[in-house]
Formats: sequence, structure tokens, C-alpha cells
Amino acid sequence: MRGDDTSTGRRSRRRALPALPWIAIVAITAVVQFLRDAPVDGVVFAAVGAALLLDVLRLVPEDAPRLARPATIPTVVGALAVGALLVLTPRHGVVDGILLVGLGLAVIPFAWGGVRLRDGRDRRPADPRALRRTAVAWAATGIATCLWELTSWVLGRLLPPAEALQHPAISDLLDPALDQLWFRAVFVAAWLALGLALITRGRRD
Amino acid sequence: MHLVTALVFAACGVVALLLWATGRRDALGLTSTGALFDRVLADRAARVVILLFWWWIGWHFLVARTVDPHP
Repeated sequence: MRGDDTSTGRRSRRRALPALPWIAIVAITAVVQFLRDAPVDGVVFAAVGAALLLDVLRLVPEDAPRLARPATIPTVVGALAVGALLVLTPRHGVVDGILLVGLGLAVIPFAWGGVRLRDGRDRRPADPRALRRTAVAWAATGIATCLWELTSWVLGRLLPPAEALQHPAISDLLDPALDQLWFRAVFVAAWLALGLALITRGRRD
Repeated sequence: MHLVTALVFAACGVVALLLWATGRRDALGLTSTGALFDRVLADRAARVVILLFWWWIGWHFLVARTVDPHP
């Protein structure tokens, strides 16, 4: 019995420790969203952080089912239809809102449970050293981008309007471009492709 | 300064594209971004948070207010 408890405790720690940095990232992002007067975004991030915390504390069911990898043709056809609507309907409109809420809800089971390969095979495992180098390179790029974005955003808030314009955040730069049809099409295509890639990754059966 | 700020963002994007392309060819001691995704996204918390950020980018740029009003 004692052995079982110890084993359960180890499993719990193994699950909790890797999750804590991710929960911290979501919590910090939630605070930033409230600071930038985007309460809906803040609530979404806070809710996801709370769900992950409950998971770490083992207050939600232990094992969510892994989903089968979505069939390619219906998924691509669906993505093309959604993409066309996102590009062709007015930006910030009702259709975009409904589609984004629907996509968010549809992604939840994939995010929580992950997916499994249809035939049970996995990809060739990568060299751990190459994997580590790749992770460091991507993390450094991501952190540099986030720090530059944060710096621009803070300067944009603190400086007088005339000087603040010299420090645009990514949103300030992309917003006018997204009003153009061709750029919105490129953006939507890249965004949907990344989403499809993300929901078909991460399996380890 | 506006141009410098934009160029730094562009440089970050170019570096990301180079990392993706280099990894696809297993060059410079790097491996594919897909392999990295497979490793990182095997963890539930990582998977949920990364997919959340992916979704939020779409929400932020296509639905919500993108540019903050200056005080």
C-alpha cells in the first residue's frame, strides 16, 4: 500500500513539474490580456490555466481518450471551406466570430487528449542532441520575438502618442495589412496549416 | 525607429523560416520542426498551451480588436 502511494506520488510529480512552466506562461498571458483591456481574452487564458492546474492536482479524470487522427480529405476540405469564409467575410464580423468559437471548441478534445496514429506506427525518433539544439534554437527565437513585442508594447503605452508610433507592436504592423484580401488569405492559410500540423502531432503510443 | 522595430520582427520571422527549412534537411545539427513538435506536444500541458496560443492568434487578428487605442 505504501509502495503504491509512493509510486502514485512519483507519477504525480512527473506530471506536475513539466506542466508548471506552461501554467505560468498562461497565467502571465492572462494578466497581460486584462492589462491591455481585453477581458474576454484574459478569461480564456485564465480558464485554460485553471483547467491545467486542476489536471496537475489530479482533480479531473486521469485519462482522456486519444482521438484518431482526423481523416485527411475531409479535414482539408473543411479547412478550405473555413479558410474561404474567414478570408471572404468581413473581418471582425459575426461569421468570423462564430467560426473561431467553433474552431476553438473543436480543438479542445485534440488538445486535451492528443491523437493516436491510425496504424499504430510512430515516426523515426530524432537524435536527442539534434532535438535539443533545435529546441534551444526555436526557444531563443520565440523568446527574442516575445521580448521585442513586449518592449514595443510597453513603450507604445508609456511614451507620448507621437513617439509611441515609432515602436509598433506586431498587431500595429499586421492590422492594416490584414485589411487587404491577399494578405488575409496568406495569413489564414498559414494559420490553418499550422493548426492542422499541431493537432496531428504529439502522439506517443 | 519605426523601421528598425519592424525589421527586428521581420528578422525573427526569417530566422523561424530558416530554422524550419534547415531542420527539414537535417542540416547544421538540427532536426525537423515536426520532430520537435512530436516531442513537445506529447505533454498535455504543452499541447494545450501551444494550441491555445495558435487559436488566440486567429481570434486576435480576425475577430477581436487588434490594435489598442492609445490613452
